[in-house]
Amino acid sequence: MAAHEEGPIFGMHDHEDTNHHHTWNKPSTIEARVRALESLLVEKNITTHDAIDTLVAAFENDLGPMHGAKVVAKSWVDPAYRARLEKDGTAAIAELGYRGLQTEHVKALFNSPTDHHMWVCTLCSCYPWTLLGIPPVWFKSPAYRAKVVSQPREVLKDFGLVLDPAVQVHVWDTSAEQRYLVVPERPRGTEGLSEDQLAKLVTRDAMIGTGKALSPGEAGL
Amino acid sequence: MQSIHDVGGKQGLGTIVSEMDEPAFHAPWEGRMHGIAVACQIAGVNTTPEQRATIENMPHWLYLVTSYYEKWLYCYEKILEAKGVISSAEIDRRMAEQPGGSIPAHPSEPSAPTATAATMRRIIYGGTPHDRPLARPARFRAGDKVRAKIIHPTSHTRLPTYVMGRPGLIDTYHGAHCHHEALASGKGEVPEHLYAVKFAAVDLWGPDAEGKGDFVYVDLFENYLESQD
Repeated sequence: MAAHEEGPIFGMHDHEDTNHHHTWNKPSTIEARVRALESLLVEKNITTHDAIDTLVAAFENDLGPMHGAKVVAKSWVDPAYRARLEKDGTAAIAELGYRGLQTEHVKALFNSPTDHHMWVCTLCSCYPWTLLGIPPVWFKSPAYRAKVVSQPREVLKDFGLVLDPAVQVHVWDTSAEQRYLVVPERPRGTEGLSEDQLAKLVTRDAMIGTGKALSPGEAGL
Repeated sequence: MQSIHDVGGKQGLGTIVSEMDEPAFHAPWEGRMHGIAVACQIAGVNTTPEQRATIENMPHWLYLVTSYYEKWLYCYEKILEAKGVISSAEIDRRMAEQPGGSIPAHPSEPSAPTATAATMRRIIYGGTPHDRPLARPARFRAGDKVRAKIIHPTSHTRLPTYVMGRPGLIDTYHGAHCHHEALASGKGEVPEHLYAVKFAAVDLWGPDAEGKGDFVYVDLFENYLESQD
């Protein structure tokens, strides 16, 4: 079963057709239902098909973690940029041309040998869409949202990362419209790499704080 | 409201499953649904907090067995019906009448966009900032000792249960932002000061705290906070 699929839909049959507000159509009908909804919204002049195409194309082809990775890589090689990113994350990110929906207010959090930052949205799934793309399913899952605020070190182990007990963990719950970007530590042995090569080391998970930046070998460099 | 969405610190919600090379959308309808949500907000049908509030009102059992974008479909059906824009019965009829077929995957960006598509592009790439001027000065500054209030509203709130009543320190002042409660209840833009409040893990989880020196920061509006003394 792919990670995005839900398990057995227990209770569905018990609840179906008893109270319309508490029922839900089976997943096999969802595509047709969304198609019907979109056609009605277009007929009522709420939107257009090409507006929806625009959003899908933007997130499938253009917006993703490679943008955040460029911010991180620049902060690794340019101390003045890092200082600006620390002072005003939103403005420093906009310097590279990145702004937009859910990226209007961004604070950068800097990981170090003594401090490990990570972020979550416990109440829903807030995420800097135009800086990192559409959030992964695990980020939106109740499992992650519930566990990371009380057992961050166990969550990191789930992602294969064991922290030294002496490292202080800081978990940021993005419960308003402020968004976060973790700047992971620059890996050792990367002194000779260009900014573009460095950006290839910066994973989505490293910028959420559930991972570290890759080594050049791990990134195939 | 303190519903099923308010999961911080809850246990027994399963394992975290990470997917390799995860696509933005797992099926074409998910991308359409995301577009529909943003389009409705651009058209002024609803706000993001209204969307969140509607999802929070899902029956608990349903919340736990629906995927992320399935929740959005549920939510927009409820919102559009409640506002008299489109009823679920209309969607049922359209489903019965529409020709068979599937949603085309991976649409291209339109080469000759309509004005609506051009607006969509401008909003995606320009954003909609949430900060607003507020004449009333901020009550707290970094380092101030505060406590998250204990409240139990039946309406939308962004104060998670797991920090209610707990002491913390003002860490960061984010400026004044539109309050989600006002946006969720159709009262429009009401700015309120917003802070990242720093809570010690031991103040949230007591002796069961995993790391005794660890911290959790929660973005909280000023009216969710009181002075410790």
